[in-house]
Amino acid sequence: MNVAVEMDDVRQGELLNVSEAGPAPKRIIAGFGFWIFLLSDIVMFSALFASYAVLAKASAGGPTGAQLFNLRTAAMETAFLLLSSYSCGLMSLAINSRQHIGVYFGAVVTFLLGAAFLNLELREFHDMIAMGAAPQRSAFLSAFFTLVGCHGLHVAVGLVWLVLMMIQLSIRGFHGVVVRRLHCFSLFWHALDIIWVLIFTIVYLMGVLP
Amino acid sequence: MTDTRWDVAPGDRPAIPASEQRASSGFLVYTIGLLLAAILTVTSFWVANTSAIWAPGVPAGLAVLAIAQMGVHLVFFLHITTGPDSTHNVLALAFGVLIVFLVLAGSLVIMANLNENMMAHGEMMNLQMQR
Amino acid sequence: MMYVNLFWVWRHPEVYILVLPAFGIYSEVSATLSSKPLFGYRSMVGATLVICVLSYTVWLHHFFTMGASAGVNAFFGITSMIIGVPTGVKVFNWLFTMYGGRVRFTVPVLWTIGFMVTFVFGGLTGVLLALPAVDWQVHNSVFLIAHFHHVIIPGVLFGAIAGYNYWFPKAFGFKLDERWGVASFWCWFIGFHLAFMPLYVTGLMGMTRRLQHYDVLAWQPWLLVAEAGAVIILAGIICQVAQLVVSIRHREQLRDTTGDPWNGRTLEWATASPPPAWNFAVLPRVDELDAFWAKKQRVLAKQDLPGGRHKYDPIEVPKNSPTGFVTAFFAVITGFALIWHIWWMAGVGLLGAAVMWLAFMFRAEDEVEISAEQVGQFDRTHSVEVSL
Repeated sequence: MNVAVEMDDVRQGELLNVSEAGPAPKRIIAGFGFWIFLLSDIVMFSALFASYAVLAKASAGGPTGAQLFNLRTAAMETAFLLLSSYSCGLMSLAINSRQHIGVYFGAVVTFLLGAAFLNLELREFHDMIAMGAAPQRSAFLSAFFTLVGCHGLHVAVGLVWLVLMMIQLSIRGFHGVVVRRLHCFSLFWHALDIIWVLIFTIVYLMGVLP
Repeated sequence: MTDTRWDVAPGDRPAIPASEQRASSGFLVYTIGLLLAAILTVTSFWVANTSAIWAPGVPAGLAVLAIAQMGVHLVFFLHITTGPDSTHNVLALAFGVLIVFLVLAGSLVIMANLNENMMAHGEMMNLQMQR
Repeated sequence: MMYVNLFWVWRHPEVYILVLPAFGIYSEVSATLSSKPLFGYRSMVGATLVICVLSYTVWLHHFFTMGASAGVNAFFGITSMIIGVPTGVKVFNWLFTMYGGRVRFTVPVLWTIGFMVTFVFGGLTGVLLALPAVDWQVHNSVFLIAHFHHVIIPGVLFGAIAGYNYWFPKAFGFKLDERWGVASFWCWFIGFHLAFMPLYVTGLMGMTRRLQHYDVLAWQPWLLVAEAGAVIILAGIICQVAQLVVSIRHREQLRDTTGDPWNGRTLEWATASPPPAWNFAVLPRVDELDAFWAKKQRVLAKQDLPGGRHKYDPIEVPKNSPTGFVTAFFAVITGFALIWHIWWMAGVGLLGAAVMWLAFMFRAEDEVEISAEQVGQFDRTHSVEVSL
């Protein structure tokens, strides 16, 4: 005989207890899986943060954070990223309501704000290298470029992903897998903003303290 | 289409169709989150630049503000709640935070300790002189 | 030192990531092949959770000698000793699982007993090394080499081989040859001890690791014994290859016709060998641990009737994809290129992986639906395996 028994039809609205409810819906499983990936990414960032914290004062006679960091630029970068997180949230609402126009609009705004953030950051890196504060100059600068650069790389990858998702949305519409992938993207984007909060606090704000 | 048929597990309470959900409730959540985060950001920048706060307390204040802002992001943008669907996410997050704390605190303590036990430069000069 | 610190923050939890799945294999094998439920299931889970957390608090014991103060060393020495406790709990659970059971001395059980006997002593040398004062004497000597082989080989390797022998019939439909399996076990067991026990002695005599050559005559007898052990291990590996070749050649005699070659307790044995892509035709109802065993007992006691399957539903399974395999291939290329600064090769690797991901992202179908007829037909032709 078979150990399995057939599941009876479940009346709508009746909730079985957890051990009988069967597997969770895919949107929850996909979200949880991506959440675990994000946590592993955050652990990697914590190693980079630890290295930066240890090496923040090792400027080898070269330029220090207080000399290099422009708080106005950091403030603008923060504003751009925070607003892009907000527009990403509005995009999620449009996805829930299955409104194509809202989704595209939210995606474009998110993309532009993210690109503006990257532009400012690349300019900052370029200016620093031009005045001699290259990653090879000191351990502090190596740690700075690795940490902030890694975050910027994640933002860039996120932007590419966003473009690909919009292409996919236009081809397949609000298919279940597309909606789940967009949900994963929004998790990714919000997590990047969280990392940036830590970066601007620990690197820029604490870096310019006497 | 197979996906809609299989997306509801037996026993899963059928999700409220998106068309019936009040769009305004979601909008409010994100907007409040944005405002709180903006306030915390501006406050951080002010704390770093002001002389109104006792100097040794500034890093601690910045850390508190950063943690508060992370909480705002988690609750308002990432929807970490205490609901049954979110339990696994909360547990995974708690474990992740524990690892991050151990890596950061452990590394800082160990490196500070190693640094303290480094030989001073003056001593090395003395050793050379003694030859 | 920051690099060393970060490396070991990862590498120590990693060895527990290696060994915990092997511990799971031992739990399965010891319970099934003793015809007894696993002893202390809850304490087993608790011990695993404790190991998960504690494994992130011990990493400095890999660099006791690198300049930290006595206080820091003492802290990590204490945590390193504490982490032996949950592992000890697990070993006792396996022992009590087998005690009073009807143990069948098949190949997986041999590897399990070999593990229990060997791993305990390896763990004890680990507790020795957890003392910073002791570690200062033997750090980077072959005493250390002997210790970590003494835990990883019985822990991880023996577990992998036990699992390989145990689940091979389920995966491929025929059992592995028993005699070659026993031969390979004894060669490994004897060879391992001959190869690594002398290293404790030479380590205490001052032999360091990673020597290109040595010129201390006093070490030579011990190292000759170690060499003999290595040769015997090689014989054990050859026996494993022979086991596979012979099993494939005799696969019809070794065929698993019931899907349940070990009189199993758990649900994987309620499928055909090998199982279909969808595993179970209908989602099993599980009310207790060892659900399959409980069902078998109820049927034997005539308290339950074998039921025929009458109604099948179509089953959705994920569509196969080579993405994981191809990504791993390009990851190897990228990693290798980054180590040696071969930038063009790193670009090629990343590009290849990206192309693969694009293909995966834009594939037309993500799921395959297995029709109800196909499910029913498989169930009917394999009625012996999927029923009792």
